[in-house]
Amino acid sequence: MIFVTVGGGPFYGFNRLVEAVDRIAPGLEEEVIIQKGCSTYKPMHARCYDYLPYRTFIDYYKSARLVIGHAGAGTTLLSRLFNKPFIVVPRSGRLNEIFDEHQMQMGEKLSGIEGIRVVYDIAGLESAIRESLDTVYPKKFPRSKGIEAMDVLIKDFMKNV
Amino acid sequence: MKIGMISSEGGHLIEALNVIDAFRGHSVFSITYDVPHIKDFEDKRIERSYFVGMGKTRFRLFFRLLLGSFKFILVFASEKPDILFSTGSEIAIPAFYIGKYLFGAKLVFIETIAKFYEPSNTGKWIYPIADLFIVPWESLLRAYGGKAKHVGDLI
Repeated sequence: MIFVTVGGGPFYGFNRLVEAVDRIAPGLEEEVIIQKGCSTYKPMHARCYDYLPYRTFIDYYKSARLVIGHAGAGTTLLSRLFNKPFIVVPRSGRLNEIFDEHQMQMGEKLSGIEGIRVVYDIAGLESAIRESLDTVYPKKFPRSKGIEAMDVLIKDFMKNV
Repeated sequence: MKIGMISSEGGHLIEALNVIDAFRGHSVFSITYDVPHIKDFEDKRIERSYFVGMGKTRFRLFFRLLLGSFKFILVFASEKPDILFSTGSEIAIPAFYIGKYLFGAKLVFIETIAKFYEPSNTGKWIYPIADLFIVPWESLLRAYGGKAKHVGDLI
């Protein structure tokens, strides 16, 4: 199963990604499930939800073979946490898909990390999906050492509270 | 110790859960926005979850947060948190000011990983009153003052 999630809260949809995935879905062997948030495009091929309940959302994440999403903090972290190959399509502020270009900057930060493919031009999405599904990834991606260091920093802080 | 985890319901919640293990061994409660798809929120590291109202437009959000402030007071009065912890977003602003000045809680804030060069709006409000302020990217150190700490990337 390929799980697609675009986040964006109550203000921003992401039709560019939802529409592209829906167009590609019939030609894929894998089932495609989309959480479209407040995107207005109505998928015709893929199974689609506006917002899934939290636990269902997490379950879909865990059972996905591949995750496709916007360059949001939560989407990115969950992909690493659950060791999912991740295709990230940054939202563009210029196209009014979000309020500024921070997702483009996130795209730059994520490019080159094992298991992550950054797609800026939506025309490249289908080949990115096929490459991802054809790649054999390790069971676990390495977690950042920064998390351990921050753990120590917070514990030291708590000693003085 | 008693820890209050404050976050909006989407990516910021996941960011908070990404680092919540730093508080293991302590009692953690959470406060997030009250939206339908988060009602079934469950995480074995969180003992109790509270929800505050949220408007659909930004204008209403401001007033709902103001109203939500009464809920913060009620929750903090019963939970008596020693530390409040947040990764954003704006829900942390009233919660942190109330927690610090009415209940004497210490404040831990971690700036969102979605900001690279400029402070988030929430970060600007929280920085002056935070007791521990962590930035996830080195490039953010310049955006804040000497109090900000960076110990490594969080992705």
